[in-house]
Amino acid sequence: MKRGIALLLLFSAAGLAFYYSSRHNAQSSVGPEAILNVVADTEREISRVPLRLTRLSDQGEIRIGDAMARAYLNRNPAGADEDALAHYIATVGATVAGRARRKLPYRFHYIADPSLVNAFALPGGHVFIGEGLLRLMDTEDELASVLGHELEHIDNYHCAERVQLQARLRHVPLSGLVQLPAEIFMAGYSKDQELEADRDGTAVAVMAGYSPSGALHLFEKLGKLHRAYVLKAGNPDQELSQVAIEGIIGYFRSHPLPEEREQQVREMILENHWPERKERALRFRPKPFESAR
Amino acid sequence: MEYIFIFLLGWVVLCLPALIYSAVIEGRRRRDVKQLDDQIRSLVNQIDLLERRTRTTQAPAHNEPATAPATSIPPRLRPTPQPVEVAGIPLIPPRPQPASPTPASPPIAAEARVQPPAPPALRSDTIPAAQPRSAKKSAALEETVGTNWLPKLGITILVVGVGLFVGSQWSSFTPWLRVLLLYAAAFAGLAGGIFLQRKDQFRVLGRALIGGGWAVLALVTYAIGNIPGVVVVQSATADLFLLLLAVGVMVWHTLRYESQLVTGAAFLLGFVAIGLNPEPPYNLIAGVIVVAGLTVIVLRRRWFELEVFGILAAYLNHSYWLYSIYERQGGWSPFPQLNSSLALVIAYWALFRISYLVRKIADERQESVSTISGLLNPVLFLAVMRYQAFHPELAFYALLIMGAVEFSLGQLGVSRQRKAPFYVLSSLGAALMAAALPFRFSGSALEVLWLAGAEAFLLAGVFTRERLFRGFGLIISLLVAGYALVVRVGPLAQQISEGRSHSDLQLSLLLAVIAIIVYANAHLTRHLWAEIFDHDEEHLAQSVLSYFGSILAAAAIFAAVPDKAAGIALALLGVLLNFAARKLAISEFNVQAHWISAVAFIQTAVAGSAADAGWHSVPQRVLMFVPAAALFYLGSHLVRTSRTWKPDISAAGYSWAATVLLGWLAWYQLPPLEVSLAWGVFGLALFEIGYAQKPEHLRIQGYAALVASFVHLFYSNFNTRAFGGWAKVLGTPAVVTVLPLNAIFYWVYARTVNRGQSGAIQAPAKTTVEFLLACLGTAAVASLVRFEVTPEIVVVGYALLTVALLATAWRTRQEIFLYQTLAMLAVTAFRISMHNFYYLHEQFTSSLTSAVWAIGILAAGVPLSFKLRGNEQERPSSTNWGKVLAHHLEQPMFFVPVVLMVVLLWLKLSGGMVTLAWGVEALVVFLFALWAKERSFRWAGLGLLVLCVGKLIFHDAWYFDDVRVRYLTWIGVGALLLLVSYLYGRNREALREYL
Repeated sequence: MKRGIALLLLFSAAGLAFYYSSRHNAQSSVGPEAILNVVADTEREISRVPLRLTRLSDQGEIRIGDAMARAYLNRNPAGADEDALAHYIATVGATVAGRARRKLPYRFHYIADPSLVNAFALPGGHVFIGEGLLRLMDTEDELASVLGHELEHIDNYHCAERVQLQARLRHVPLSGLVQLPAEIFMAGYSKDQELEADRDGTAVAVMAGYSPSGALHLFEKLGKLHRAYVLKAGNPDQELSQVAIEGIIGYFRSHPLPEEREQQVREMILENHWPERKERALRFRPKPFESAR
Repeated sequence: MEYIFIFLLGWVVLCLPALIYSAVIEGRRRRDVKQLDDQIRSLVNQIDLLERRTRTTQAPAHNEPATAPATSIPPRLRPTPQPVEVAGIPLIPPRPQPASPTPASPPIAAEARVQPPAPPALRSDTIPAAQPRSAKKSAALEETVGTNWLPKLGITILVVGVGLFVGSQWSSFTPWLRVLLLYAAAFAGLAGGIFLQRKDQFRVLGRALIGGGWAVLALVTYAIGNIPGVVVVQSATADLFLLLLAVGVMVWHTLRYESQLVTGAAFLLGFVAIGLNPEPPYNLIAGVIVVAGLTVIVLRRRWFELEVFGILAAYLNHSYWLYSIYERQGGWSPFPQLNSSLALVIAYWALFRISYLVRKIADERQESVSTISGLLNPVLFLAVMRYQAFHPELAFYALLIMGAVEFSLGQLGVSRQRKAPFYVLSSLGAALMAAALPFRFSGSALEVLWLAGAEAFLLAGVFTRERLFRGFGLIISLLVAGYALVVRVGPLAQQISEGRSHSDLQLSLLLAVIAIIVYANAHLTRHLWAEIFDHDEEHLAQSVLSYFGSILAAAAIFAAVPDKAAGIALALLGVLLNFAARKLAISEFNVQAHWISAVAFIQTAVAGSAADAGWHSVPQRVLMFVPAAALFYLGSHLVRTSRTWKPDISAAGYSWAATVLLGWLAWYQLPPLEVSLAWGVFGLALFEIGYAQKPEHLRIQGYAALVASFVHLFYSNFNTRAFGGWAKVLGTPAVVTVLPLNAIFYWVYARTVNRGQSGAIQAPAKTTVEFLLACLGTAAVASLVRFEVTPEIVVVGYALLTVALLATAWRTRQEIFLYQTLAMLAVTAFRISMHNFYYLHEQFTSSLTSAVWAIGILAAGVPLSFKLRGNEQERPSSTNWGKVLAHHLEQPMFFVPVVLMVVLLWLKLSGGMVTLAWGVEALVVFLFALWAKERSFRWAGLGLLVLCVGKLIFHDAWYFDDVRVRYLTWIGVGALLLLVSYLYGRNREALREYL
């Protein structure tokens, strides 16, 4: 009898859960993000102490970063007719970098590649932003939030720790780390690190006088892109293949979803009572695409 | 010319089976005669010997005085050989009976003795002379080759050569001269043969010459009307009459030799002649005449084997004539002589049927041969009628009528008197009438007719107890089934594999009918007449038939129903087979059910994967998967109680298939968020049913479903977003869907756990499953905390979970929860130290608050851990550190928060405040240790105090420039030391007791 009642309660609870889920039309993405997040975060937590103990000196980090940046810029030279835009970006970046904790020679580079919808940082203070990502922006506040996010990866030693990890994984002495490709810094960091960079990056941008709404608007745009272009599995077969593919290639791509990043910034705005500031439009933009003749 | 030889060759090939059969029968007859003859000779010799001995014994008594009474030896009774009749020929006439012997009769004079008669002379033209027993085998073989094979081979080659000669160009001879010469050669052969065959040593040669002579005669008679170069008769009709005349004379002549083979060859030539002159209506008339003549001879001579050959020849000849007509007119279509042809074929059937009914049968072998012709006649009749049938809509009525006629003939008095015709014709009639309906609706498929013939043979074999007929019936059934598999099922399978439309109701009906009949032949006959079907070969054939039947039945389903319903139909068939297997104890049905159910599973899965549409708002996939799964579960139940190989494994296979289908359905139909919960509920249901019904495989499936639901959480439920405070956490989709699942995990664990009587902590259950289930529940909660709350607050959730596990261990007395507590404690400590402590400097996070709360909650669990301590006797004595720690949880539960607090204070405070804070902590620890009466705790407190003192002396005194901080620190630490000392003094007695 008791067992029957208990079973009935269990089934009733399950039924209520089904009802609630259907009523709220809850959506979830199918993929290995959860597991990847846990693995990446756990790896970071395990390696935190050893990395702290073997941390690069600032000089060492700058030297390695300069070499990497040189090599990358040789392969991807900036366009000659985009000097004004590059200078503009560097100016905004310098404003934001003035609020960083670590006093490094931060440098900001513009990559004139419309397919590069990304920004990344190299050790020692180099921040790169791609033309594709810039084309998504409308305001200088959005640019500041992105530059702040990337320089906080440097400020919080994320780039330096990535270099240390790669040296250990590839059995390469530190002197040989200049050969590391810049692409390993494009893949993103763990979820914790990304959220940390979001927090600190937004904070430094706000401290530099920009509106936190810039970050919010940019995350909204990224969210739309994510929903539009990221393949959503329509049936179990597609789910399985998506899990397999993302599991293979997504080990370091533990980006939090745009909604999560947006939520964090909103909470920061509420908790810190940041004032609502008017956003400034971008003063320089990438040149429009040439129309076909 | 080649045409003629091809035609002749074709005839020989077609008629070869009949000829061989006749030759075999003939040979057997001769062998039997020879054996009888030898036996008779042997007996006669023995009688002679005995009589000589008797005479020798009686001779001395004959010369003595007649004082002593003569011992009279009564003459022995001579064996009276019974007349033996082979093929209607009496071999040994009855011998006169000897006089009855009288006792004490006087010695019989030698001359008065009845001389043993010489063995009767056997008919020399039928029985070859008995060879001496001492003839060596090699000599016999050589003789056989020389006197038997060589003549036959030689005359055959000679006749072929003459045929080639006939067709060649004779530039210097007129046609009449050529004809005369050829006829002269033919008659010379005949005369020579007749002369030579009278001599015993040239008998075979002589007959060969006779046969060759007649063959040449017939060939020339045909050639005079048809072959260029020797044509002297312009009218084909006249040529036909001449041919028939020649054949008639030949038949009359061969009758003299009392040989079915020879007479059969003559008739063969007659049919050949008709076939070579297909000019209606004369060939039709000639056909009737030849068949009538053959029938008369068969009845009079009782040469029933010859009739079999005649039936074959008649119908095949007519088929060839039809073929030539269709060739001429360029296609299969009605022709002017259709009605005459129909009448002729019916006449054939009638003649042979009358012959079958009115004949006199002497023994069982003759009856068997008659049955063959009795069945061959209607079968070939139907085949030929089908070949010239242009109104398929009438076939149904034709079969009914023919069936009725045959059945009626079987009821006649003359049939019932002999019994075999009653059985055969009744079975045949019934089979034909039963085949009429499926034949009509299957598109006039020939397989139906063949099966009707097979049934007739089979039933004839049953009722006449003739194994040969049963064998024919089974073989024809196998052939029909094999034919259907290749010709019907093969293309159907190809259509299915290529995804083309394959719905064909006619084909389905045909295959279903064949399957039913095949199954009946395989099992019903064996069930009804088990004592008759007692040979291994028959069992093997029936077994193969049964498997063919299953393939045909499955193919019928594929042809009848759409792909989306085929799986259900096949599953239903599987259930029926399993039911039949259990009811009738037929293991073959189980095997068939297994493979059909496997196909049903694959079909359902494949078709269901693409079934996205709905039917009256019910998803098609649901309509497919649910019934199929129900049938598989039913099949599992049936198999479990049947006599199949490894019934438990088979039953598990069925239920696994059903479970996989239902799980798959849930995966497809439900939103990703609800899939895990659905699998969890399903797993619970399977577990409970398995627990109640005892089949282990259901419980295992339940476990599998629960594990799958847990794994799926990480791919779906934990990907939802609930980034916020507690109020939002409680209502997130992940929490709502995971918590009931968690309850299910723990419930199933509780049901499987082994509970002790004393209430002491029980060792973890031996089975991995129980251990896994317990861990699944805890892991689900821990994962929920990990993914659903803010990263900094995770430690608070972990700490709460640790204490909850501790409480559970205390409440349930299950050791597994002690281990889980230990594990969660370690995870919490790791998270606090590696995450929260790392972000203590972050002003935008709650790392500090969360860390403090977590440490506090862990500390609050220490009193509870004391309740789990129990007494010393209950604690296991083991060197396993994990086990020791689990049974001394109060130690890690105490030390972990203490150490964490020490580190936190060090990270967060600075300067002398660290020392003071440590001192305060040491005091708190000491007070707690006094309350807990735990020595290790007291030592921890003392240790902290020592650390404070050490830091004070070796660090603070040298590095703090602020004087105020310095003295405050020294005062504070000093006061704490005094206080602790006071506490020691106050509790000295108690401490001594515990020391």
